[in-house]
Amino acid sequence: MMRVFTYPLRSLLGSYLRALFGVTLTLVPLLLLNPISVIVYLLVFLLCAFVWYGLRAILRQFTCFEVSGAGIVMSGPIRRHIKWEELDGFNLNYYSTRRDREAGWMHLKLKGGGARLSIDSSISGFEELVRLVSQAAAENGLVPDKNTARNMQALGITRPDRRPSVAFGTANQ
Amino acid sequence: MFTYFVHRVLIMIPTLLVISILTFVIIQLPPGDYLSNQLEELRSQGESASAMAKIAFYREQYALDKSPIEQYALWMGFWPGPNGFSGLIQGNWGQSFAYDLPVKEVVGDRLGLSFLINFSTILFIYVVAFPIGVYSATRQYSIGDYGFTLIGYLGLATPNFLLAMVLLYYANVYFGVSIGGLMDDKYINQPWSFDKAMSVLDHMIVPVIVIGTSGTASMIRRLRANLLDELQKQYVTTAKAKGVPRLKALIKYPIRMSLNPFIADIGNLLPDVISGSVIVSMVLSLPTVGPLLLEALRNQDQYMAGSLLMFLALLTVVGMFISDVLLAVLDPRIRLTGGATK
Repeated sequence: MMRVFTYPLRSLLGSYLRALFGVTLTLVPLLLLNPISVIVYLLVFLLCAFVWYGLRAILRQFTCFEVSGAGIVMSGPIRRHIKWEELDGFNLNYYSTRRDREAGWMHLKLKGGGARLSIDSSISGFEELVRLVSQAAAENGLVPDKNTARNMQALGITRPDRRPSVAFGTANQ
Repeated sequence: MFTYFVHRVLIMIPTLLVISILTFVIIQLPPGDYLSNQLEELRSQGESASAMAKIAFYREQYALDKSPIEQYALWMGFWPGPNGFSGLIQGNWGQSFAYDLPVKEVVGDRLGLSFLINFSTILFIYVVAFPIGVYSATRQYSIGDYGFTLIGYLGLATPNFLLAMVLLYYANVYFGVSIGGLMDDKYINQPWSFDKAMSVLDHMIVPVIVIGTSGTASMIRRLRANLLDELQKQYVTTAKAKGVPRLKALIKYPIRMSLNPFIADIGNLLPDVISGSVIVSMVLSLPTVGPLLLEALRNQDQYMAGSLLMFLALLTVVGMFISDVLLAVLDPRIRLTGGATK
C-alpha cells in the first residue's frame, strides 16, 4: 500500500510570508532609493534568492511524495523517483537560526538512480517518512553518517535491521 | 541549506536596520551637536558673519534643525533631502563638520586598512591557536602544555593597549623598529604600489599580534578543552584498541568535532577584535578608523561617528553571518538535551 506525504498549506504560510518580506525588503530600496552599485548588486542577488524561495514554496504546495514498497516518487510540477534498490545515499540535517539551536527544522536528502530528492520536515508525517527511508537505506547496506544518525536518534529512530518490505507492510496497516 | 541562508539573511537585514537606529540614537544622545558647539565658540570670540552663514547652511543642508526621525531618514537615505535621496544607501556618508570635508574623503583608505587589520587578526588567531590547542590537548600536562597554558593566561590577562605600549618600546629599543603607523612615512597619501603594500604588511605584524593575543589565548583554551572532551570519549578508545594509527584516530573525528565551537566562536571573537583594534590603533597611531571614531565621538561629529560605527557594526554582523553559515555546514545536528528531543 502506498503512503502519500504532502506539505500542508499551513506549514507553507511561513515560507510565503518570508519570501514576501524578503522581496519587499530588497525590491523597495531598489526601486525607490537609488542605491549605489555595490548595494544594487547585493540587493539583486538577495531578491533572486527570495524569489526562488517563494517559487520553491509554490512548487512544494503542489508537490506530493508517494512512498511504496518499490520506492519514492515525487509528483507534481516536477516528477522524480528513486527506487529503493537504487538508493545510494541519504542524509538528515538539522538547521536552526537560534544560538541555542532550538526551534529549527530538518532536511532529508535522498539520492539514487541519478535523481535527488530533498524534503523538509514541515511535510506531514516527516518522521514516518524518515523511518521508511532509513529502513530502505539499511536494506541497501547504507550506513548513516554521524550527523544523520544523531538527528535520527532525535526523532526516536534507531537504525533498523528489518527488511524494508516488512516495514512498509506494518507501516501501512 | 538554502532555506537556512534565506532565514539567516532575513534576520540580518532587520538587525542592521536596528543597529543603524541605535547608532543614530547614541550619537544624538549628548546635548547639542557639533554645530551648536561651534556656534557658541564663535559667539564667545565675536561673531564672524561668514562662519555663521556656513553653520546656518550646514544646519539646513543636513537637516539638523529637523526632528531626529527626519535626520535619521536623511542620513540613511530613506527620505529625500535638498539634493534628493542622498544618504548612506546612496553612498553619501555625510559631511565631517570637524574636517569640513565629506566623510568619505576623510576616511579614505582607513576603512580598507581597518578591514585588513581585523581580517588578518582573525586569521592570525586561528593559525596560531589551532596547532597550539591541538598540541596542548594531545600532550596534556606536558612541559609544553604548561608553557602554552602560562602564555595563554598571560595573553588573557594583559590588556591589549598595555601590550602595545610594551612592544612599542622594546621594538624600538632593541630592534630599532618604529612600529607606529601602518606604513613608512614616505608612502602616506601616495597611490598604492607594491612597495607600499609590502610596507603595510611589514607594519601590520605588531598590531596583529597585539590585537590577536587575547583572542588567541582564549581560542587555545577553548580548543584544548573541546579536544580533551572528545579524546576521552569511548569511540577514540575503541579506535585506538582496534589499532587505528594515532594521527588518523585524532584527525578523523576528534579534531573535526572539536572544531565546531572553534568556528562558532568567530561570532564572539569579532566584536572583541574590532573594539580591541580601535584602542590599539590609538596607542600605535594606526591609520585605521579607530582614532577617527574616537575623535568624532568626542567632537560630536555625528555623520563621521555614525558612518564609522555603521561600518564596524556591518563587519561584525557579516562576520557572524559567515560564522553561522559555516557552522550550519559543518555541524547540521540537533542538540540532544537529556533524552531524544526534536
